[in-house]
Amino acid sequence: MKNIYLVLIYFCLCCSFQVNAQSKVTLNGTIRDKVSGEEIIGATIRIAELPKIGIASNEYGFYSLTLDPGNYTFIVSYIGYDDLVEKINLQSTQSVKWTLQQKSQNLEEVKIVAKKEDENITQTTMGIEKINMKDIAKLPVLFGEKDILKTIQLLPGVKSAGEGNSGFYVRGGTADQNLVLLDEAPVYNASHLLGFFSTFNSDAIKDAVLIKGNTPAQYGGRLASVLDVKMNEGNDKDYHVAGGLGLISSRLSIEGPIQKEKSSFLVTGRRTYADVFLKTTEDFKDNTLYFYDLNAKANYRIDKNNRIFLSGYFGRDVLGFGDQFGINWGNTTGTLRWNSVVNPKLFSNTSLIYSDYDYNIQIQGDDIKFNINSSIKDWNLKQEFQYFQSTKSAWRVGLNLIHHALAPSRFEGDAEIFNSLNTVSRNSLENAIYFNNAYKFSNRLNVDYGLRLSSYTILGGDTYNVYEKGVKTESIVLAKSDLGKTFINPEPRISLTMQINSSSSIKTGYARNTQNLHLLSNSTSGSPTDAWIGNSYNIDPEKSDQVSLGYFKNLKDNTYELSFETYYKSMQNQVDYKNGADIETAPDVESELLFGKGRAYGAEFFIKKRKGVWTGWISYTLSRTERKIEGINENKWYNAKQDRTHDLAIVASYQLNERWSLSSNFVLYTGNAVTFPSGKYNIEGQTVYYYTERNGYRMPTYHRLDFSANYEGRQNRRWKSSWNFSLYNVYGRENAYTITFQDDPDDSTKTQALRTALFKWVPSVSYNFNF
Amino acid sequence: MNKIIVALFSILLLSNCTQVIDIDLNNSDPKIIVEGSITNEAGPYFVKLSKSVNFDQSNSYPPISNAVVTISDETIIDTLIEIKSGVYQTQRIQGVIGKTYKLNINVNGEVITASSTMPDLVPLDSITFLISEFGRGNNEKIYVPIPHFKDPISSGNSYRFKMTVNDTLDKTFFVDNDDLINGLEYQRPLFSNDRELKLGSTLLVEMQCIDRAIFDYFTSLNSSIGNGPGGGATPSNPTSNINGNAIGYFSAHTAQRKLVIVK
Repeated sequence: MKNIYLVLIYFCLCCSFQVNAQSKVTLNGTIRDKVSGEEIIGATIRIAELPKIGIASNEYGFYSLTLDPGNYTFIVSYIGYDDLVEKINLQSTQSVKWTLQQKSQNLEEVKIVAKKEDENITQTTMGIEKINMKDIAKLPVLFGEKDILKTIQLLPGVKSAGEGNSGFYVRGGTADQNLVLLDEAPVYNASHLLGFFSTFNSDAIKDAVLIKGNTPAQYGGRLASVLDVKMNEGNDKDYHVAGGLGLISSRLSIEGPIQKEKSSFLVTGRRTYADVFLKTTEDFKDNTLYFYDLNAKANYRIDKNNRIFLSGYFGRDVLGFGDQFGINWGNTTGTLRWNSVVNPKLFSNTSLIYSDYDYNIQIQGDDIKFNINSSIKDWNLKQEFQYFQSTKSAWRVGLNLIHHALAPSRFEGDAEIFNSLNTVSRNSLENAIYFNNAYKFSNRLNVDYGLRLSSYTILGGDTYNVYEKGVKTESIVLAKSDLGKTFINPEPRISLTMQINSSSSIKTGYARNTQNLHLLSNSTSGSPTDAWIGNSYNIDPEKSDQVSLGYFKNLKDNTYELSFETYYKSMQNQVDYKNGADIETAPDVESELLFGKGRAYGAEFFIKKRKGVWTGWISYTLSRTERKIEGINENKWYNAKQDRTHDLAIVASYQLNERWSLSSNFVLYTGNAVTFPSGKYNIEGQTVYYYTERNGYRMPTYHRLDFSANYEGRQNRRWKSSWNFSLYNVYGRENAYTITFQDDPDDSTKTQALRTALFKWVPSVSYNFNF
Repeated sequence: MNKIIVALFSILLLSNCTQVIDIDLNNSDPKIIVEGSITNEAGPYFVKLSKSVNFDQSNSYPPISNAVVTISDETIIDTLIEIKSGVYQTQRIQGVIGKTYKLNINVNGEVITASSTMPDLVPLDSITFLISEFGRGNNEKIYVPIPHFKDPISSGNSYRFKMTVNDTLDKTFFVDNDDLINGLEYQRPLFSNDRELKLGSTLLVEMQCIDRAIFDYFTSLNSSIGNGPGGGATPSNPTSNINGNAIGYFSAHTAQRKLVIVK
């Protein structure tokens, strides 16, 4: 550990003592889409005269290049767009807005431009997956809903949390160890309808990036991954309407300028209507089951250098059985952001973020009626500076202040008993400061290093109990004005890229991550009522150290992209419920917890064909994830639930002609580790199962083939439409969703195992349009 | 949760298919199972000893004979007599509220011990019924019994209810405690997984005041057999108050009964 700090300090010194011998000039500005005016993230700028230099636009479409004065030919490129070539006589610092034109859909016209599509080779950060929203549109989907969370499950190192589930596991992490951000706001429950849909309406999404553990210093707070989702800004030139009709849901979005080329808005909504069918059946006419969500965003350019954004998300699930039982839950997020170009080399971003997740259960009997509420509310302030020092070095320095208010179950009802049950919400501060430097030592060697110093402080206003093996040993009363325990963690991150030749590179990295909020989940599928809990006098921050090494190669003029990555991750302070935990009535859930460590390691293979009529990829992961928790499995290492030895995904798309394209995907993975009985006995006439080992068994191997056909309708003036026909689970395999054990109903002297599968075939059709 | 999801998709009229499958489960060494209790009612009391079997064997559990079983308080050590294979009966000990009882078992040199304290008796006042049409399209009504009593001011009371419906014991293990309702009127319905009460059914409710360890035992037993709330917890053996190489329970509890007819 000490050595790493020394290395970091050394790098800092190297970089800051570089002397600029001659006066340089800076070119800066934004890169945007010509038609919609949307900023383009990650567009690359190269200079014909200086082939060694290449930079990319940042997450707000901003770029800054500092060069010697001279005549240059700039080449601006981005996947799916025509290259822009512009000659500039750069004598003084200036700002230039570049706009890129999307490539025409017509296949014949696609020119193979000799451009560097080798971002995967040259970029320093590893374990990063960019999700192209256009790729998503054509893949087969369940219920006709395209979904980024389900698409990322087809990538190496990412595993599905279960059949049809939008939950995912990254490199042996649990679902709560993924930081899911929507316009920088954390989304605490990223799924609808108990996991079958994600909260991300793909019509509203501009860009999504998944970082698998080697997170740059600007991100923090979760161990396994960061999924950074950005919403569209809204077209600032023309009004557009887009929408889709599916079997169980429909979508509509409207975007357009408020003031042309100065401000724009986007509003997107979605609602499922499966409950409409429910109403028609006699048995279920009183039941409700639906979700809706709404994304809205507006932005305003104050002047050339300043811009503000306001974006929000609101989503809700409603489930009800008659008027006796109802539950609804959802996320609300809001982001107010100010981008400012302080000077041509310094870019500033300030964000004020609100995020809320809550659920509400209503129970009504003949003479009793009450609600149970729970919520987690965050206020979050972020300030970041990006300093484009030179073509060799770029800096990020920032700070992040979060105020969490976690309210566990609160009862509200007419009966007096409820008042006695209520607990106050627990407040805490989660703060971080960080710096990150991307530095090019040479044409061959790039380094990206940084340090994040995170802290978590318990704020007063509640009593915290300390437990020793489930028995209370101490009570700590914190008055409202008191500050409780503070946890401080330095989190160093570094990654190195060594380019072997123009088409291959080796990357390696190390990152430490800490996590101060923990999700307590006792069920396999994740439930809306799973509780988030912060660090306390019993719970220490979870920590992980990940090292990874990868080899990246592009073949045949970047037609094929190949990668091989390995990782080893060790995790501390992992939280689990103890055996037979009483999670419903225990007055303090912390008495029911156990702590231990984890380790995960694996190898990920990935090959992708990016061009031609056939496109697609194969991803394969060989991995292992284990846990060791005092009090579980006789304190021995055991397979974590999310441990899967093999995980294979094959995705293929074929462009039949201008109108028709076909896509298919196949997934195969080892079943989850589960606990099955190794014996049985009898207690008062009831058969009880006897267990010998935690997660000592496997669910059956899961495999499934999906197929879809897409038809692009003829463009009629502005009106464009497309059809998507999908068949989920083509050969109707009954993949086990659960396996349960019971007495044989026909022969009480026997017991039997029952397998439940959710879907055999699920056909769906959806119609999409925009104008 | 899994149950809810499966139910949800049945609702959505999608094919969810349940099938009996063959599954290869490991064998385990037979484990000694202890079921023993002592109450404030007149004796004799019984201790049952049996063994676990492998999953694929039939549901007949070999009784353990020729064990030496004693139940003792501060003054008496009562040696139990095996009245039939695996069933042991006390001879003279009498359960008294507030006393701690020790169980001692010797099975071929294997020593098993347990202890349990009999809590105070909380009087059961009455049984009423909640009428539910939950999830039913026709007009058939389901009656769910609600025991009523006043939980004492002191905290830490745990309860167990046994229901016998028309002379058949309901297999559900109903247990509860006063963590959330200390000192208040108890009125929680007993939702059964096993039997349904209809108009005219005869119901016998036995209410037991149990100690916390027995509450923990039955709660964890329920969650491991999927009867607990959620049903999706990682299954494990219940937390037992038996020491030694055995599982099961030894409970000193009070008992009282009420017989009602559903009307």
